[in-house]
Amino acid sequence: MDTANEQRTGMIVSAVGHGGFLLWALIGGFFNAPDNPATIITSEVSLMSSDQFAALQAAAPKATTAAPDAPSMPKAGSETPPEPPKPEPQPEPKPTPAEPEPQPQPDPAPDVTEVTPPEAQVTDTPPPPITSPAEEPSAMVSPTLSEKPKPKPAPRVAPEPTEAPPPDATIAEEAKPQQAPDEAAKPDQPIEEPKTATAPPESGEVLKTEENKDNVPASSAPVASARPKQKPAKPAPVQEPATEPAAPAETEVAKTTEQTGTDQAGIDSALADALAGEQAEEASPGTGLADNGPPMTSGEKDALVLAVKACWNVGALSTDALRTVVTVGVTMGQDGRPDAGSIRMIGYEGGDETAARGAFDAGRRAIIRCTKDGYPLPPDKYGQWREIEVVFDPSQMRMK
Amino acid sequence: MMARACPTSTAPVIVTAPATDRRHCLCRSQSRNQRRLVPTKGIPAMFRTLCLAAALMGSAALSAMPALAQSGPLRITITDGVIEPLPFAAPVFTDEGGAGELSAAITQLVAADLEGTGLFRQIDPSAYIGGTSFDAPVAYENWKAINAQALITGAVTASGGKIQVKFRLFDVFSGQPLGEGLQFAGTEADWRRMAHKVADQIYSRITGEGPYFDSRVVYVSESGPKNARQKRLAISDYDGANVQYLTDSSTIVIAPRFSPDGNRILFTSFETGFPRIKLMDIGSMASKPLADLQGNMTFAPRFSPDASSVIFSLEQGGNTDLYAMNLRGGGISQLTNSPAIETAPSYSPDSSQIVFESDRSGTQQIYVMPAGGGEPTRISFGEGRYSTPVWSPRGDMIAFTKQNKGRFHIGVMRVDGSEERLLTSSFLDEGPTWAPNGRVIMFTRESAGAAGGAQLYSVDISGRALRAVPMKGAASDPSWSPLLP
Repeated sequence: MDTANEQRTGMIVSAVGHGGFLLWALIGGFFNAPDNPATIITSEVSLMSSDQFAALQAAAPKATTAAPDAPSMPKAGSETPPEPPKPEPQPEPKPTPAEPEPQPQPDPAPDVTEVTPPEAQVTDTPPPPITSPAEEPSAMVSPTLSEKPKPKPAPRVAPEPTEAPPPDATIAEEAKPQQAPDEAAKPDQPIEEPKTATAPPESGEVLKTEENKDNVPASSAPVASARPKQKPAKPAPVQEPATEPAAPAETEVAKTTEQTGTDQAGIDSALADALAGEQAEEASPGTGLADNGPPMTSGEKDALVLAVKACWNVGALSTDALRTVVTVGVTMGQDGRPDAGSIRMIGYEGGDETAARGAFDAGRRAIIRCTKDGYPLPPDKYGQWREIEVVFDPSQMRMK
Repeated sequence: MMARACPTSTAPVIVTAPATDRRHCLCRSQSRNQRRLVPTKGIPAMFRTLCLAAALMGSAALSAMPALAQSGPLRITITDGVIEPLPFAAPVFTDEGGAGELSAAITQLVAADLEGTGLFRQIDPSAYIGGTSFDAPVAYENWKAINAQALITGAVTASGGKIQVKFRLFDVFSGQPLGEGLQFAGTEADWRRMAHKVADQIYSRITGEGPYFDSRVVYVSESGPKNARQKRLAISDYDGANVQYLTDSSTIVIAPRFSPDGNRILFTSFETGFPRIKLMDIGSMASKPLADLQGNMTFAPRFSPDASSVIFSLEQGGNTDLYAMNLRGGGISQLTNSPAIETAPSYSPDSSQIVFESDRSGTQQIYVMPAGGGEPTRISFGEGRYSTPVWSPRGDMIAFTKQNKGRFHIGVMRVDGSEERLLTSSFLDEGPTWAPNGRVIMFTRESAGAAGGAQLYSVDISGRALRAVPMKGAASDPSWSPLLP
């Protein structure tokens, strides 16, 4: 019986076998777990073909390139703290020695168990040096960094504080700033139009009340002078945040598609051999990958978060609703537009049903209002964002 | 035989059995040179993954990397948003017979109520696109175009001194009505109350807060210069309309307080030369002393939430403590006993606790203690002096007056003293009182100088919508009524 079946299905079996082998090779690379049965693994590894090795290598470079990068970054990071030009003059004598000290100390301390008295002295000393450098830079830096001593109050609170618009500019509706995506459509006059036509309404980090309205003047003079320098560029930045996420998203998409494309090409060609032409030869992203696609990058997620939060107005929410975290589910169309009818409340916590309904209504308005021409989502990853769950957590907005 | 193996293959082999659609993974071990038929369940983790993936591929699931397939919807978290008034459109209510100018007046009052909260912003009616009628379907696109997020339509009918007001509320961007349409009927003289009721419905449907527009305020109406000021009790709508005077200006009266049902008022009168608490029935305007406590100053009274008792301060031999009096039995019990001054008591909505001010620490601070007396817990620890605490009708916050660095503030804090937030800052702010929904605070603001006067202000507990209440003349010591029936 076995032999008869083999004859009939020899081709299929061998094709499936090759495919499975290839995939095992791929996944075996991910699961370099030590718990693999030794005998089985060795025999199969020995049978790996050049295709499999090629596939493994295709996957391996990622890890290897990532690995060198990671160490290099930490190095730079660890070096930079002492490096900054400002701290240098002061830190030269004290801070730099102070910082190395605490780190080495713990190491020798456990190692050299014999010398207890030095340990005690050492351990006593580190705390003061640690605190003193921390205080010095903070005292010195705070005026120059102009770290806002108090959040900027304004009648409108937004994720990105903006200065009051120039008197001759017409205040754009709160949705207008989000039309930044439109500029992609009209790249001809990206900067001038918003400047002359509209300006976003003034917004701050906390609500302006009578009690805190003088907060900004109350802060030290350098702060006040430092802020305006950044602000004049704001009208442009307003577009930037929109273009920035879009640009990286595109490049990342390109990269990922390229990478997956090459991987895909190798895999698919092998599959094509194994499966006797069932699979298309080319690994065009429109065929095999379209349904799921690679996972969303954090940049792409951030772009979506940025777009939604600009329309999430909690100003008319009850105090109870501001303590309610609501999860909203939405089904997206392929054009990046949400299906308004599909927006539903998945769950809530922290408030009662009335509060949850108010919070859900605000979330739904946010999702629909900021749709515009569709959210900036990578089309080739539609399978990843066809169903979206948005968690609206107003806990940080409550005291603003 | 469900599964078949290829003897020439040394790789793991997957064979599908179409008849039953069950899959088995057949693994061959070279060393042992024997075949094992292993169900997917029983093999080690890596091999199960391998076999599962292989099975997927073998069954022509053409995804190249099934192991990375998405596991559920994309999930994002929004923690940062915008706080701004919600723009709404309110085209003039349709006149469905006899309403005349009343429909426009009602529409304006509804819009004014909503805008006065600071949570809403009316879109200029000149921007409206197209007309509306109460029964016609809503052209949502027209309202989206002007960025209206809520749309209010209504109709007014009037005949023979009776009017009917009905309205509908729509969420423009989701294209759905918010709740059912409602209709109110009343007399023409009560048109303001009916507008307030419409606004209340809209306000609570959108925000989720309780209504409060249809309510009244009792306060002290003042006239004359500061050194010879005449005071009398007055009652009006929350927005200053429909003023009625309850007492004449022959004696000085201060600190009126509504009963929980809104039918009686406690106030402090200087009729006899020193402060005495009196109780007035609003319907008959008859007042009587609360208790026969000759020779003692009594002041700062407040009802318990169930109206069964009154808590107040009583001065005896130069020391002031808190007392509670049972209105039914008339018995009086002493709640505090310390050489410090305890005053300004206020019950929690469940009557279990009392918040009050005391200077036992050296300066005025806010304390909370059980309603029957007991060890107080200090909850105010910021700079400056805290006084006149009032428990929110919702029970979650305490409003207070704060004096710090020569300025007065009205503020709110949670009942444990956390999340203190100052809402105002001026020469003299004092005496907060809560709106029935616990979202808005009214207080007295006194301006500096001999010609200065007192005025009532209201502010949202977020600090927004600080505005003067348009009372006639000077006014102080407000007390907000419960919501009218």
